[in-house]
Amino acid sequence: MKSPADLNEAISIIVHTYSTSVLRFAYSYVKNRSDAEDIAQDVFITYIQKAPDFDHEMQRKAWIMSVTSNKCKDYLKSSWKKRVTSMPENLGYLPREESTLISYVYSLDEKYRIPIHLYYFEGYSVEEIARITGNKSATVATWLSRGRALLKTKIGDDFCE
Amino acid sequence: MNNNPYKSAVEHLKFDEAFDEQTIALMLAAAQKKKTIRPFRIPRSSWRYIAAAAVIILLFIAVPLIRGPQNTNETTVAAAMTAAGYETTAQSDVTSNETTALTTLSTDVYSPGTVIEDGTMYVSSTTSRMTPRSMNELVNVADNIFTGLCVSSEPVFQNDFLYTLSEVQVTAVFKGAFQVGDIVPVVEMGGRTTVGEYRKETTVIVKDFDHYDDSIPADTNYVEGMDGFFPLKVDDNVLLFAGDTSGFLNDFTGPLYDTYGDYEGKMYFRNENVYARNTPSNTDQITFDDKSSSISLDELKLLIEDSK
Repeated sequence: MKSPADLNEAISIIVHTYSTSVLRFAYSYVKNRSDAEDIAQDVFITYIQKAPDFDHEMQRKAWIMSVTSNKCKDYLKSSWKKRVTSMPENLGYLPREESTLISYVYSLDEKYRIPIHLYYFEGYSVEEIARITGNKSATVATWLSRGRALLKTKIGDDFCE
Repeated sequence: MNNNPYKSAVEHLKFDEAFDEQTIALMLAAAQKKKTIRPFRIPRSSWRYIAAAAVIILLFIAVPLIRGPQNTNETTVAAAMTAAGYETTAQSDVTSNETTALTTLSTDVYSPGTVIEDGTMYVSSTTSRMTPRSMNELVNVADNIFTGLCVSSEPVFQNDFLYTLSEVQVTAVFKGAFQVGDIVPVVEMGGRTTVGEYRKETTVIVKDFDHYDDSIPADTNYVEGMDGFFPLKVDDNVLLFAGDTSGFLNDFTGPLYDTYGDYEGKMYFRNENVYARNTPSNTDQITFDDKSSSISLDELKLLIEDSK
């Protein structure tokens, strides 16, 4: 049984380790920073409540990413989300090439956008993406390929392979 | 990954102080609160939802009993294997149950699983579809809209996956640069081959039929689709909403097209002037029902005009 101080420290380490990935993954779904932050907090609260055990850090990260994916899908399906329109995000603080690239990627349909984010930002394989998002590998491979093709039509070969 | 502009751009996104120490303390408090303050009590306002859920569950139980057995021509793999003297594993039962659950609970996901009919194994993946595109969206998003006749169709294996490369001869053009008579190469997920070829060409270990060991004869026909929709076959008369996907198949050079939404952008000839999306099915027989989304070619022309 951990003391409150130990628990606080353990959670703090987990949050600091994975908040970058969780926030950006949630952002790639909801395209809104405040919503992404709310979802990320909810993910970590779930983590604290469930207190799951893992043999490897990779498993822990995959679990956290999977919970993030589910919470984002729930949020996007929620009646609240359907009734409100988010303000477009101002990415003016980014260099122009980067804000343009992000705009292009985030303009893709969700099914293409999410595999592209997980593949290019997190470096996950197709199989890992399939597990995190709960889809078939073949489907993810196709979405990834089509997402790339769509980006290629917009920005040429400048994305990455 | 080096030279990854997307990674670099996303890293530069700002999430200022989203998780400072105070926020973490609040999250811990919230988690504890949710853990401890959870009396086992159903709010009075929830009873109506519980009653509604109970009615729905009763309907799910009662309707199949009233309607009696369906699809009597189809045989599940487990039943077919058992009838043929093969032993099936407990895992197959689990898979079967999960499939049933998906079919029952989801309105837009059709998950037929695996069946053997007339010596052909039909496997259909489930893709957890996002919201299907409306006809208006398809008209807007598709670069090419045309009717055509499938004149050839062959399986292609690539990266462990089975695809179908078909040639569709254009019979009428509604949008895009094709001409009547053009042969358009179309790639789709899934395909038709044999169990033996499938085993030979793929290395993925867990396939639906691997639950049943290697005893399924190699010359058994194998047909793979998605969500109860299967790829084109010769003589199919279709209306396609197609986009350019050139370069998708490694061994195919030249222009290549696919249908939008995997199968949403493919409708079959139903009757004079009308094309419809077929009913998702356990097999690749094309059937329609009252819910099939359909469009006449005149309506299609009007939609395309309106979209300009």
